[in-house]
Amino acid sequence: MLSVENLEAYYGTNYIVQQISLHIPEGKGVALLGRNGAGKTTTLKAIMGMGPKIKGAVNFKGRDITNCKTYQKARMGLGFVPEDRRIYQELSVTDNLAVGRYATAGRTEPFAMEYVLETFPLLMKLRNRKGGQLSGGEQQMLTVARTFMGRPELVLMDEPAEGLAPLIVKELAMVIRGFCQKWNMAILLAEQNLWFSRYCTEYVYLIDGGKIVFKGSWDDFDDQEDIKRKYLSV
Amino acid sequence: METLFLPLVNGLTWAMMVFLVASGLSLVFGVLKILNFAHGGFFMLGVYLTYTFIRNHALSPLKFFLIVFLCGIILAIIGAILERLIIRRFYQLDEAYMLIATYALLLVIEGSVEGIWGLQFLALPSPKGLGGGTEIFNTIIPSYSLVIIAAGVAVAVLLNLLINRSPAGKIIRAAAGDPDMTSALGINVPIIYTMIFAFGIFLAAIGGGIGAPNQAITPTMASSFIIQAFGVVVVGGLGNIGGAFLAAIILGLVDSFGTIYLPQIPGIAFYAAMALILLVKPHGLFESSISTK
Ligand SMILES: Nc1ncnc2c1ncn2[C@@H]1O[C@H](COP(=O)(O)OP(=O)(O)OP(=O)(O)O)[C@@H](O)[C@H]1O
Ligand SMILES: [Mg+2]
Repeated sequence: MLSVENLEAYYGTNYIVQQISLHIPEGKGVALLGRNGAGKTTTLKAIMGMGPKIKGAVNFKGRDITNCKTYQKARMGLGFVPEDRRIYQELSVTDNLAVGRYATAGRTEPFAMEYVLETFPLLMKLRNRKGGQLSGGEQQMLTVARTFMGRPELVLMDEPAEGLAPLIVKELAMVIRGFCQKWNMAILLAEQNLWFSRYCTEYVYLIDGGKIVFKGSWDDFDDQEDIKRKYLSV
Repeated sequence: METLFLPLVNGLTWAMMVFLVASGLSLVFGVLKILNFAHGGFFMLGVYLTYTFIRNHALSPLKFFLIVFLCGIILAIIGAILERLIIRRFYQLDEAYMLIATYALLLVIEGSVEGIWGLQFLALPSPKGLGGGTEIFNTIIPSYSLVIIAAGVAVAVLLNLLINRSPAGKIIRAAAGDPDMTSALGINVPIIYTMIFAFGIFLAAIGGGIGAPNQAITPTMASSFIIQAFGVVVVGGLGNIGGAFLAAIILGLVDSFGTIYLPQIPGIAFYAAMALILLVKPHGLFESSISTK
């Protein structure tokens, strides 16, 4: 579904993402683990074309999208959920969701607003509230729901569990996993929360200092106690 | 009553004339975050282009406003081309470059107008039936003043509906507040910028066309209008169109009544009121309402 070959990303002259390759099969979940500053966000932004200068090749659904514009990638079915949520503060919850619809343009029909609201029951009660008046957890739900509105075929999700209460983390994991399986949606999940990542994905990549230092299944990952200690703060 | 009514109408006419220019300026600032000096130039081009089509014919109101609309469309297309060729190169740079670039564009427009239409004063007849006076409250007021006031109110209402009520308005506000996130949601933000810039030019141009019968037409009108429009935009709160509407009315009335009560110093009241408001509220009366971060 998505294959990234020898991707490099630069901020100015800073060489951040260093020759990484990733493969995400259709409908599957892939976790991108790594400690703070490892390069997770930069990798997702590089794939999406949001900021860093890039080299290398990004293929999506068999097409070379390295030089496509961000909005074109979104319309091809590449969804993006940012780590800082980026809710439209002055728009209501439903208007925030409505903006998410346009990613389906020329590809498929968007989900019905009611269906997405049912999937995120927390948002249902808040539908007329302004985005800026939601709690952190509610905003996190909304940013995920907004991207889901556009029916992505692969969603790049940046640390959705960060800073959330354990109960909300659990609810979010169940919603995301359920949605991905129901709609055969693939996910590339940048995370530091191992429980959350394990719940939502099948494969693991570990990134450190901008390089991939491990890839494999969760079983492979569990077999190697030392990498966990070396590359993650657990 | 009569003594107060005429200056009220005059003040509102001035206010709506300036608002027609300020509305596009404020919209473009709210979405693109740029101050477009050339805006007054497009107002003036709207005047001259309308003049060129109509000359000294007194047309029916329908034909007149159709021509004004057409001139607005023509200039909006030119505006869209300019945005793609010139303006967008400056978005990423320091604001000063944009001011210099749009000021240069204003100078080019002023020079072209002088070259094409000359320096002499021109005048455009009002549409048939709108040239005389209308009696309200025992006072004869110019009928065309009512047209300008109605046009200003109509533009304010329609812009409010567009920005705050329509689906397009949500996208415009999203693109204005967070262009990167909005792109990642599949929206072609640069096209929206082009369209908003062109729409701002359209508003300036039809403002010029509508106001043309009420003005002495000269190549210096761009500069005088853009200063007043900037004042109204700043007092109303940069990027807040409703704010610009209220600011235009407040400053228009202050100016009109100021001229009556302080005839020794005409035109000072506008600047005094503007300075006073900005001393108390340096960011203007309201916040920007278009952006939604
Ligand atoms: N805009 C930027 N300009 C310059 N350097 C940056 C920029 N953004 C990130 N970096 C640098 O790139 C490196 C990787 O950052 P990145 O945000 O990708 O890490 P991350 O894995 O997402 O970390 P976290 O878990 O804290 O979100 C860091 O050293 C960071 O300082
Ligand atoms: Mg990050």
